[in-house]
Amino acid sequence: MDIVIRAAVVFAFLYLLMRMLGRRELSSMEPFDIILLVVIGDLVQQGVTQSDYSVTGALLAVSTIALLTVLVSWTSFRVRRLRPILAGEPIVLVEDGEVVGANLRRQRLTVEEVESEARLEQIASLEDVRWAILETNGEISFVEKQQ
Amino acid sequence: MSDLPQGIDLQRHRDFEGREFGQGLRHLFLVLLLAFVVAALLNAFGARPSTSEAGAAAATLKVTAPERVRGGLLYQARIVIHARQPIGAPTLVLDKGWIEETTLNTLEPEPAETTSDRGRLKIRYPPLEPGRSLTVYIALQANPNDIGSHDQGLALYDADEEIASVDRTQVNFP
Repeated sequence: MDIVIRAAVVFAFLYLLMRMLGRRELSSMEPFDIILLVVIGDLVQQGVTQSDYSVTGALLAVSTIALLTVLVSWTSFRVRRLRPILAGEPIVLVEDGEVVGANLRRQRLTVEEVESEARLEQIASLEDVRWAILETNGEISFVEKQQ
Repeated sequence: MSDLPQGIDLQRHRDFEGREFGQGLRHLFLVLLLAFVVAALLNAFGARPSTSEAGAAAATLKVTAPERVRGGLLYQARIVIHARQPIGAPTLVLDKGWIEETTLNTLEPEPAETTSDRGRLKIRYPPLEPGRSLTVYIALQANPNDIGSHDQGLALYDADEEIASVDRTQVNFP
């Protein structure tokens, strides 16, 4: 029973952490971020399974996390009002070639980072961008101005 | 026709109208995270050892062990008996909070006799002369399932006569 509770507590904490940290931290994976992710995974595993090395324990922990993932996704799908809380909302970063400074600050994003993302989309200048939107998965989508 | 992308509401997604609560919540969460880590640095969740002491005419008893531990943690308790008068049968009586749901790895030096009395562990050592000290080291490990507060009192007896006692409580975190 305790392993189910531990897995649920860790899931809830990680979910909250990921929602609160800001989405850019999660989508821009530098080499250090990947190492950090592996380290966090290892730390979390110890907290969930502790001294339980059994297959039953592993199955229970994984099943609990899988069920909670489905529950969150089902709740987000069924309850529209909870969707912004559970999944987040898009944020407008650029409008008609002008950056929305307040929103960049909220997400701790620099103009250079947005420009870099734009270049990855073969957009040379933000002046050519009609809309740049930080999506809920942390990626930036660009809509170019009509020629 | 507006060229606004579908699903985008400028008031909400550009101007953050109605989203102030969420922003406040995020800041609060970060403050709580910081408080959590600072509390850990200040020993709120263990396992910095503390010392409790009791004295009597015949002897002093000193216990050094963490009062807060986390599940699975290996830690040590050090018990020092300093005899002021001869103690024929120095006996330490440990409350069951010391051993219940806790793995006792080693107890050094080896006692002359170990018994249990109503869940309390009694360990007896050879006689102690005045001026001599006996240091007992206990290596323990908190079982992860054991959560909450436990009485971890400790008493020093000379055979059946109590000399000194220390009241302690240990809190086990999950």
